[in-house]
Amino acid sequence: MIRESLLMAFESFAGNKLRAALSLIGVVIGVASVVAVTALSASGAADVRKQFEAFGLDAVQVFASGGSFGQGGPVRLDDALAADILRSFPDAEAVLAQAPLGGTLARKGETSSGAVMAVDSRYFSAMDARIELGRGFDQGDEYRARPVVVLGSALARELFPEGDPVGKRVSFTAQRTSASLEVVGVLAPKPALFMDDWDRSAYMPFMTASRRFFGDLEPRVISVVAKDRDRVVALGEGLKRFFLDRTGDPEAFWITSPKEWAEENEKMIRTLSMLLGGIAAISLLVGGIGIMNIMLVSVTERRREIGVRKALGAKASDIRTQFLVEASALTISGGFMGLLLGWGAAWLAVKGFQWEFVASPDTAVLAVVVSVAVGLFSGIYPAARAARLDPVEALASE
Amino acid sequence: MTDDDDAVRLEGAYRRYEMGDEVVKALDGVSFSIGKGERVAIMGPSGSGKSTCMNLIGCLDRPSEGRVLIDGVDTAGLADRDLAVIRNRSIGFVFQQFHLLPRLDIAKNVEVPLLYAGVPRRERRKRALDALERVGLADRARHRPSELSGGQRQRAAIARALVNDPSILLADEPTGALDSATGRAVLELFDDINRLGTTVVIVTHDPGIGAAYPRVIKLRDGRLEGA
Repeated sequence: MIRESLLMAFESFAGNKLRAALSLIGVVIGVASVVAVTALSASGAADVRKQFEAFGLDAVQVFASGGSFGQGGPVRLDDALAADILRSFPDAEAVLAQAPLGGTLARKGETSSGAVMAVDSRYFSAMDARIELGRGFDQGDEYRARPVVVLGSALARELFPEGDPVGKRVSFTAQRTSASLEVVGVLAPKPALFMDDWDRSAYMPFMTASRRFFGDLEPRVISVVAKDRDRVVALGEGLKRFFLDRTGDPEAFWITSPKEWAEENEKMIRTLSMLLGGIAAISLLVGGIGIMNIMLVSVTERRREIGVRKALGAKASDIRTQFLVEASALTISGGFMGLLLGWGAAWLAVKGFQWEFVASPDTAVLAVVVSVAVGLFSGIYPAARAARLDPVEALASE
Repeated sequence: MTDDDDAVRLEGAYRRYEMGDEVVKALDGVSFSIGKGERVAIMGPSGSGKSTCMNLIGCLDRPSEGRVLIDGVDTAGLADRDLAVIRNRSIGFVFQQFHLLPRLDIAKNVEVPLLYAGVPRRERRKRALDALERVGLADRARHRPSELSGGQRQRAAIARALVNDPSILLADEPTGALDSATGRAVLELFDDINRLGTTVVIVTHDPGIGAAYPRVIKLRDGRLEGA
């Protein structure tokens, strides 16, 4: 019976192609917008996750506002503080010091534009910065304050346009001191976040900077590495209380973690997509009302057909099924077109944003379920009216 | 009470309609019976109640009062879905305006009663073609109704009426939309069908048809004439 009703439905659309198409537009647009919003937000969330994963989701960074904590503040980001943090937070695995350095890098008299950072030898692994050529720092570099440097990818190209800089030397000038540094490694490209413009920076061991150039260098930033990625956000909250206790000034420091940013971004995308989804749902409702309208017109126009079918033995339930199937077939076709249209629109947008397109099968299932629901919702009243028609009156109508 | 030889039996059947405050007595206490295999014309001018009578016999409607028995079954107490089953199994309708479904081809039209009887698709097709064969339209199976002449359309409608082997062929002014030669051919087809045992009931105001029928039930003002 369903099969026959489906055939009848398509025969009836074939007899009224333009009207079927026009009445479908609402559902097509409704489903397309729901699908596009879902696909866009899935792709956006995936992109945010991917980006932040590249930043390293294991660390919380503590920034000293306006210079160092030491200047005027009661807290110094020194070894004692690091030990204190490790004691207070069982979730913390390591406390790493960083400081941006003044000074310039040059090679063969050409000064580079890159910033120079002093970092703990474990910094690269903590921040998921991959070494592309050569090596990173080791503890020996730290203890001996070796004159070594690791270059960001763009900076390496700038200073060594001829290629592989590992083993070559650059000169570093700061505080009226110049020294030659050996390039030991080059980083893989990595998007910039907070104070790290990875590609355009040069890194030297913290102790090298402290002993050779700046004398008792104080960190400007510390990165607290969590043992477990899932505990990073909680660790950040704990650190906020920790530093507020010690400085008494919420403005003296700024604490954040890539993970927290990622979660906030995902939350924002979710909120936004729920909002857009709500608007899409309204357009779907309007589409459904369009279908209901066209089905009511169809029932009125086909009163005599309904009468004939009843005279030939159709039960009320047969007539109801026929019109419900017809409405659902209409909305499912609309849903299918909407799915393709929505995916197409989302794909174009995602391309524009340079994200990765995420077309989850859930979206397809959603489109089908939603369009069947709209079909049943909009078909049920017209179908009930058709089923209730009195056969004598229906046969007599023109 | 029930006579097993009766295809149709009306016992004091009333049908009243309320039109605003007014009550219209379309059928005002009518009793008659039609035996199995009979050939009967129900006649009367418009407003005589013959259409109401047809609706009752065709199980499209129930009496307000009294009884209507089709093949011994009282329709008054039946639910809508059971009436639909009687229409499907026992009655074959032929209408003045043919009432073929315009978007279906002839074979599909003839299949419709079998569809509602739950007959599987292959058998439906076979029986529809057999019925079309009986009315001489086998070669028109794939045509749409609009591609056929009036006489052919009415024969297609007759094939549809016969396809589920009803005990009663119920025709409402079946020649009303046809020229007289074509109409005669349709009536001859009815005679052939009747000879094979199907009860034929024609509702008409055409005295020419009445004259050709062995039995005429005459209605006037909702009552049997002369009663």
